[in-house]
Amino acid sequence: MIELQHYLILSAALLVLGLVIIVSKRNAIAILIGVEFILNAANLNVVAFSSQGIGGLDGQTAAIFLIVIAATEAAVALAIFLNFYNIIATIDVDRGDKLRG
Amino acid sequence: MIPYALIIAWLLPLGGFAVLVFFGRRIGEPGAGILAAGLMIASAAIALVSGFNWLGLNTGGATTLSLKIPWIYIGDQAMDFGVRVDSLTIVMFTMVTVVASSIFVYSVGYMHGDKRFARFFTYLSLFGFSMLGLVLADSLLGLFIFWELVGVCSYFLIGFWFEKQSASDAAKKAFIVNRVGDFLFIVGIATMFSMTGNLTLEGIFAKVREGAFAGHDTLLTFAGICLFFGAVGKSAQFPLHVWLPDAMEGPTPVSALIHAATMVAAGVYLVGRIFPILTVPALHFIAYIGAITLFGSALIAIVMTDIKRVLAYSTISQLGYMILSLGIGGWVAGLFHLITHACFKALLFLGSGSVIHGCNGEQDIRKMGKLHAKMPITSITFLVATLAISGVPFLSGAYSKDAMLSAMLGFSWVHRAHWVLFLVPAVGAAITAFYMMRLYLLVFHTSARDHHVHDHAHESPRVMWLPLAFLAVLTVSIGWFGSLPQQHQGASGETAVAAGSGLIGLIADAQPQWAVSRQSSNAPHGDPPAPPPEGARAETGAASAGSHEGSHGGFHLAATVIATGAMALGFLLAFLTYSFGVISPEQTTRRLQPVYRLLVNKFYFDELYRATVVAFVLKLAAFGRWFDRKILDGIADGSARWVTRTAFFSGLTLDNKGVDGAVNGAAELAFASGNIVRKGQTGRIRTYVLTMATLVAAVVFYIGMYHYIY
Amino acid sequence: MIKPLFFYIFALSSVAAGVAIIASTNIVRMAYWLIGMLLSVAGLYFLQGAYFLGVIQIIVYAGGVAVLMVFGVMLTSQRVAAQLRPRRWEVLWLLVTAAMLLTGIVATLLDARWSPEEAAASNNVADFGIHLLGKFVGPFELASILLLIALLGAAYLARPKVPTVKPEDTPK
Repeated sequence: MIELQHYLILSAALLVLGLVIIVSKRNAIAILIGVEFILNAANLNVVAFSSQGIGGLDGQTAAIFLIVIAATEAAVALAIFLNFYNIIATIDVDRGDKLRG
Repeated sequence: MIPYALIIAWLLPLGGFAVLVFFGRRIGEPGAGILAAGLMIASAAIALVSGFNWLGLNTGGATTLSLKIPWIYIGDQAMDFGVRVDSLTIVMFTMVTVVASSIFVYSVGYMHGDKRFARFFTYLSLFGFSMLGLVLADSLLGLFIFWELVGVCSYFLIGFWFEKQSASDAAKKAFIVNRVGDFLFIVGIATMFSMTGNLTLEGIFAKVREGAFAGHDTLLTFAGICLFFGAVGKSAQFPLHVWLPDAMEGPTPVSALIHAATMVAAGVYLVGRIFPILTVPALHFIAYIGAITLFGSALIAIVMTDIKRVLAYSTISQLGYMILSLGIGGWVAGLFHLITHACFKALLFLGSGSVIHGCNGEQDIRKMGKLHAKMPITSITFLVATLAISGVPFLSGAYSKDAMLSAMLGFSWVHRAHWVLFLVPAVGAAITAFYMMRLYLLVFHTSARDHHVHDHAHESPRVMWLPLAFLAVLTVSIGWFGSLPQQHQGASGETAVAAGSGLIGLIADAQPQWAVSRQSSNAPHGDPPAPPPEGARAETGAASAGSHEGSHGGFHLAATVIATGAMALGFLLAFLTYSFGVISPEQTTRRLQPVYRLLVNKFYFDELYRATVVAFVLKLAAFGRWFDRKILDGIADGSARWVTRTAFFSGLTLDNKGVDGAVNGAAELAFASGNIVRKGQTGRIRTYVLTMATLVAAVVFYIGMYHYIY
Repeated sequence: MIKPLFFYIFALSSVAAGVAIIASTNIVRMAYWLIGMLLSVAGLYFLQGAYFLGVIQIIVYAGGVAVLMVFGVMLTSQRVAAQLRPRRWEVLWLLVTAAMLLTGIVATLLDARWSPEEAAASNNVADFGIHLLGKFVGPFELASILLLIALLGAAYLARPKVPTVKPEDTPK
């Protein structure tokens, strides 16, 4: 029987994978992919709680809002990256270090 | 009804701000100004109607209307956002809206052609809203919020022409100097909250009255002085006065509205509001600060040559009068002067703006002269205000100044040790009359010293002189028909109170019935309902300003005579010096060279602060920067720098090409290796994410392992 | 026994997608792997009975967001296989962090106990709709405004600074 904990551990794994993607990739779009991993991990978490009867349907509703926010975030972030690309002519985030100390 | 009406009147400028902030640029040149001015006039109309309603429903004695909505809950304790309306609120509210209306109208003319016209009115509207909120607030927290809001509006408006270095510097200076006062202000608020568990004024007074500070008199004094320091910052009193003269870099309507009529008076208003919790030592402190301020700044005003700076120092000096008056217990007189001063100082500033506008931006009074014929309306209104501030009888300024001086005389009569607290304002009155008449004569009469300025001078457009005329009418008439509420011993021994009349009577209605400083006297603990007994007032020197009864009638008469005499003396000196040429200003200056230099340099306060506070902060900042670099760049980079510096040093001293090259090469090597280390450290968002994630992971790891370890 | 089987299939495929992304250097492939992960998660939703959410996941996420990313890839990288590798010390640091985070969370999870409510939530889409537009109607409307603002903001940010095609150049 698959329990709540299985889902939560999977969610943790996706979170860590997302973090690794964010930090290890220098391509801005890959970083966005990592963020999507983390958001999906969170979603999986709340849906798992919801379907196990904790918190009623609130978990699924929260997941819906999370998807909406992820979509907006992706749209705005990509627009920012396009600007970044227009200005620096690369998508390597390490080049965006004008604020270096 | 009245609180609701005032809340509507309060929100109107906010509405103006909201519209202008989004559509200001689209609305454009005259529209934005007309919108803001129209809303402010509507607000003033509501305030006036409420004021007359108030007079109708209230015949003597204090009434407070309040309105609360719960705002923040801390535990089970609700912080209410409340509105408190008593007669002082009504008077202040009306004063602010009326003065602001005329200044808004004036600004439409003054700011004509400015490229940020709409933005100016956006800020002005926000300021109007904040100032009115400050007046309405019923708690220290509310006061503080709006206090900061008016401060930030002041910052925006002083630096309105931020392309000018001096303007943006002045804005920063005003903001930072005010922070000092505000810091102590919030310490005072926190002290009050911790001791009384309450932030509404009424609640604090009630708790203090019940003895929340019993046995902690020093703490109460400390809290009072801390709260007062908020006022010191805003009202530009003695140690923190340095920002106000520089604030004149802002557009002149801003100087008139914010830095003369309303915002700087907020400090005086605050002292008036917290008066009941001020202990006797705190009041003495306040009184002496006021005395120092009024005298010092009046002296500086004599030697200033910039028309707005003269007025700025005059403002500081007059605020000193109010603070001193409150400090000696002349509550009514001080706040009465606040209202009359707002009218005539706004008029003076608007007049100076009209002069500057007419002279194409010239601000130096040495280059003006003989402008009376060129701009008659400005000249006449300016003269009215000059006479009022000097205290010519039957003008508003005279009533309030007499009231203050009689309070001071009464105080120093009872407390002989504090005789200086009467001498200083009396001499100050003469100085005030002198420098104001000097200013008037130099600008509008005497000889035309700069023909270029004189030939091009012209009267301002109607949109600018109409507010001047309106304010002149107010300046003349606002003090008329005033009398304080009076006590009569009835036949059966009970005390009957006859209502006061006029503006001063209305303000007197709001006078606190109870105060810590009075409690220490013979007043019984269960404290009297109507105005406190005469004995109690005399004890703290609250010599009921201008009270017409008993021995105090004598004080009032004497004070009037002294004030008028001082005024006449000041005028006489000014005429002798600048009109008849009996006294030569140049010769006097030369003879009193050290004094003159001291005054022109404003007692070297800016230099003192630069040498102490600013230098210290800069050192601190340099230290912080050094520390930061150490942490961020790593020791390798630091050593590289050191090696470079040493290399340069030795290169210069030895001046040997071969050694020089070798050493420089080594230095560059070290520098480069430092750079390599630095590159790995900073600037990249991924590095930051990784650092952050590591810290979070460490915490999570610790929590996860916790059960296994223990 | 069919449910655990599917769970492990989806779980493994989503984790595998993540690993593949980390290993890959080709941004287009990464985007496709992302779609794989999103579909796996959608499968997990179906598995848990959250059908509506699963459908939304496929339509919005896999259909919308991932395609958006592919577009982003095409608009930005001229050299598709831009070799942007992290530095070695970064990798080491990262692995330590990741290991700590994963152990921390898993250790916490293994230790935690939840008490499910008696009645499991209804998975009826109708109930879900009532829930979304009843209890959560405020956030729902706010989300719509947020989407609108994001739409405008993204369009504004990504607008061409210099018009590349002049009006008169457009073919009739």
